[in-house]
Amino acid sequence: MLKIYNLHVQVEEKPILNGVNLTVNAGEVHAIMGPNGSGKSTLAAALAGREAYAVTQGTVEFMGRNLLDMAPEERARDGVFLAFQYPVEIPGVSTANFMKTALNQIRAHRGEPTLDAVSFLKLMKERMKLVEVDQSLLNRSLNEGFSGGEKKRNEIFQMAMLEPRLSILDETDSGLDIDALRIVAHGVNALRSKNNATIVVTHYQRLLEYIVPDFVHVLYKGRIVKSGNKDLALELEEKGYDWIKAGLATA
Amino acid sequence: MGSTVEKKDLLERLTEGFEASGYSGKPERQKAIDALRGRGLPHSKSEEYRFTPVVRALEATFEPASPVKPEIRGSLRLIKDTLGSQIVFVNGRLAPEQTRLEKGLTLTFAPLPALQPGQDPFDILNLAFAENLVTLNVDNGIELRDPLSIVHYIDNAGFVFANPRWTINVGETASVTVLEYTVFAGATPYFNNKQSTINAGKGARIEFITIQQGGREEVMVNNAQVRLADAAHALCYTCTLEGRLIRNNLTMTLEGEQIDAHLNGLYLVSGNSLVDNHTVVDHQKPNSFSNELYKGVMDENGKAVFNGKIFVRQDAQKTNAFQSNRNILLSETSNIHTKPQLEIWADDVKCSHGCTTGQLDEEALFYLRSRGISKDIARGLLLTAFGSETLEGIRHESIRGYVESLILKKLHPAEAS
Repeated sequence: MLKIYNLHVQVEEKPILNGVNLTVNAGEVHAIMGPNGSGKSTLAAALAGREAYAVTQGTVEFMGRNLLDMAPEERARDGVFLAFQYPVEIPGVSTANFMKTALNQIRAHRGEPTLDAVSFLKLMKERMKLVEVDQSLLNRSLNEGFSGGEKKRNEIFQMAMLEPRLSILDETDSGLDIDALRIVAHGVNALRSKNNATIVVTHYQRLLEYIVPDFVHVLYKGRIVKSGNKDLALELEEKGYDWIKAGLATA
Repeated sequence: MGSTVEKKDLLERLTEGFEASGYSGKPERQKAIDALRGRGLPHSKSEEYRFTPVVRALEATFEPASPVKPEIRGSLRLIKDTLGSQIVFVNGRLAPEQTRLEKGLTLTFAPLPALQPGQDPFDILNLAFAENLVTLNVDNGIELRDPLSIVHYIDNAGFVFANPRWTINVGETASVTVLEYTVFAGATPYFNNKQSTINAGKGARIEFITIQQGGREEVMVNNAQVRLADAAHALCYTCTLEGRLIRNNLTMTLEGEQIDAHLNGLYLVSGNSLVDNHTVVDHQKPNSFSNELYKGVMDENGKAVFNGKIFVRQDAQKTNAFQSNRNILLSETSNIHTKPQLEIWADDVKCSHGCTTGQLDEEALFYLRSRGISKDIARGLLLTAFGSETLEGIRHESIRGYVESLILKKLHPAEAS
């Protein structure tokens, strides 16, 4: 599904990613871990197409297409979804109106007809239940005045609405209490299938107790320095990142 | 030097043009003309009109009018399902046959007021050329269900110089929505030099909504005064969508206590247009509240000016007065001059002001696009959301809906169909 080869990314002329290689197949969950400043969020942003993130080298192939040539909205329509670490507050645009616009643009891209108001509302209610989003949030301005937990649940709600092929969760666990974490993880797990894949970017192992990864990768200084199965996350939790850093220093 | 002597100044040319279209000057008006001759029309060095070259715009477009008998073609209604009272000015003069009033409303012609010190020069110009002062009295306790429309109908085949002047006296506890707009059926540039006053009695509730879309050739100076008595509730909304040069001078005077006053404005400026909003909120008595929110979106070579003065007089303790001006510039060649001015003589007040100017929020744009929304539609969504905030508080759903559709048409063409 996703093939990242030798990806180099700069932000404001400062190199952040220095040759990332990663292959994600349908049905898989990959966790990207690493200390602060290692480039985790940069990887997520570059995949979603954020403009300030300049790719200087390497390729990214998604569903056989060159992802790096595509505008952010084209990536989304082809099935890439980024759950933001800091969802943006947008006064004056309701969540419902926003989702309707997005879903219909994606449906048009897939050659599906526009959803009528009744079907849209029905779909929305059903997906809201999944992450226990309160109905009153839908008519409020997008993310405006939402609590941290509400914002993150709203991200997963949007993911449930748009049914992406590849979901990238950028530190979705940050700022969540344990109950909200469970709700969010439950939503993500419910949406997992053999046809889609998930990349979980996180600093802590905690989220991975709920969203169990097939692979764990450690990103350090802009490269993946170690990969393994879910046990690697536990090992990191126990030993900290210094253990990885020390290993690299002696190697 | 010979050429400057031969060249008549704008005032002379306006006078001649006006006379050519059937105007007969009255001697008392000569005072106003003399007053203007003394100080002249404002030029680029006049502080209040520094960024707004009304005279230059007029000189560039002015042509002597060929007398035409204006004819009303098409509908004068702005919003279909409102059928309230209407006062119609045709090329600046009251058209009694088009004017319709409900019970509780009476129209009179008052003598033109005397000159005041410190009067705006275009107000004086209006005094010199206005036919009369159209005065509408709204009886105490009257509640108008539909908006009262004030229509400026412009029909021209040559330059029209219109000087409508009206006053509405709203009785105690009466409730009125005034909806003022221009219907432009002509083809050539015109100058609408309007003066209006609303006096709201005790406990009256007024909404004064001005929608400016009088064609690309419009030059307008819109002098508007609103005076509020005790416990009055007022909302002024000024929405400018079109025009070569539009200058709004809105002065709201809070003459009583326990007043609730709102001033909202929206200007969407593109092409080579210039829109200038000068507002004054004058708190004269204690315990009143005012809130002002003006927002603008400038594109292409659009230029805008916002100047917001708030006065809190020494008597006006416990005043709450707030002001905010927010602007988005969409092009390199658009610009905004914004200037808040607070003058506070009372010591127990809460006042604040703030202004922002920036581009469209890139973070928000990316967020919307990352969900599959195209750049154009995302931009339209954000801009309409930005503009629509100014509509909050307008009671008539039909007016809100109508202005929303105008905003959509201008800022979000993909969704407006």
